[in-house]
Amino acid sequence: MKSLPFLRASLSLRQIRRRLPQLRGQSSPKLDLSEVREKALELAAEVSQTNATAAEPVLAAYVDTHIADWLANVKARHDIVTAELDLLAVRVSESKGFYQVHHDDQENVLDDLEGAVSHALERLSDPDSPFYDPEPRNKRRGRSS
Amino acid sequence: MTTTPVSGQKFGPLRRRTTIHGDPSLIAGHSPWSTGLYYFVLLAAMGVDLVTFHQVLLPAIDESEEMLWIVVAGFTVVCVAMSHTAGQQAKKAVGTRHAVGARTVSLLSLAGWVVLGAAAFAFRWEYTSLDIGTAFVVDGVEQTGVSDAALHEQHLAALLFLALYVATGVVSGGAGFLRYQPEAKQYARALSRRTKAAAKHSRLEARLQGVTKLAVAVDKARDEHAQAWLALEVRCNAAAERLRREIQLKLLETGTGPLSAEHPRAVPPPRENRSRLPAGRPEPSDPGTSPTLRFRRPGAVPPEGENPQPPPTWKPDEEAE
Repeated sequence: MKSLPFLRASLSLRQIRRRLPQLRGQSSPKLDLSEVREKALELAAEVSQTNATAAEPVLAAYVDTHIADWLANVKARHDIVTAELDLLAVRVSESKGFYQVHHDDQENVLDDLEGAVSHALERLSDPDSPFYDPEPRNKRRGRSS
Repeated sequence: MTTTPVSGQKFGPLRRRTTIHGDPSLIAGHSPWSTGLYYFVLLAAMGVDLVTFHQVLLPAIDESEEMLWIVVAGFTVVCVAMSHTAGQQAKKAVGTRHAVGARTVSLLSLAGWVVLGAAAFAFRWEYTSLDIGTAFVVDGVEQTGVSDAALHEQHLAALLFLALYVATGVVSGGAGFLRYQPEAKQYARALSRRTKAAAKHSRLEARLQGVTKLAVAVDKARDEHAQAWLALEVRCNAAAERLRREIQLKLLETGTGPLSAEHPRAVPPPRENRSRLPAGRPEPSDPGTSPTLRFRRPGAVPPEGENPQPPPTWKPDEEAE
């Protein structure tokens, strides 16, 4: 049970590593105006001289509307991918915080054990190391306090 | 032996500081052969005790063979443990560190070991089995007794037990006294735990670095995704403009277009922010409100804040004039 959070974090990172290249590898959408061009030019050819003034903004609006419609469809897909990337960022941030906390805690443990090793070595080799163990009663005999 | 004044005592006689008889070479530990010999001696002592206790307890306990061996094994382990503990704790008691209770534990273990051996020896010395000895008739009454030879043999066995018991106890206790190095063992334990902690720390650090790199990659992917959308909007603007120009050219080619040689459109209608590229990290934009999307008809009213100058358009009245 102790390693269950580590297992969960590891699985989460594995899923992120697998999903991120898929999201980055998606091809960008390409705008195809051939049909609109053909239709607009065909309409422009049919415009009479008297209607030319009014026809130009209408044809321009026809093109703009087509492109806006296409962009709206692409935007929906773009937002889905954006939301998924945001979700991946949140999960990565969560895992990073988890590992950061354990890393800092383990650093403290390591520092304590470094002190323990140094003290054990002093007990073994240094006669002037602090005397932590209580002195026996016969060593204190005759001395006040 | 050093003679340094005790801290805090500026006056008075100097007290000798106790010298720690540590040996840093003990960090390396004993050699494998010495360790193997050490355990071999302990196992041999246990084997001897096992046999001697079996001989003592065999006539005394009327149980099955399995139960007898369980009791014998228990006696053996207890007596070896007591003698070994007595030696180890005596080593701690005579050391300059003076571990609390070491002397008491050593004496208690020694006393228990002595009492156990004495009881077994007395039992072996005095106990007489019913099938030992001869039966004879005195004045018509059958008498049972122990012959001198059997008694002598019994006493010799008891003495042999005592000798083996003391010998194995001395071996076990001496091994515990001589080989027990608490400071060196404590250093070895601390070093082992530090090594494990360092390995775990390095694993966590590696994972943390991996997660940090992954976070950077995700942020980069988000930026690239937002930039791709802005670039797509620019491309769409350019494509729309190009198609509108083609329509104008088509109208000119057919001779019905609003632009003629007399009224050329010298400058295309300005489209604000058409070449503005976002700097830094852009926010996802809405195609309906994006500054790069200006699909507005030339005659439409521009929103507030934009260039109110209307694009130049061709007027049929001027052509008629």
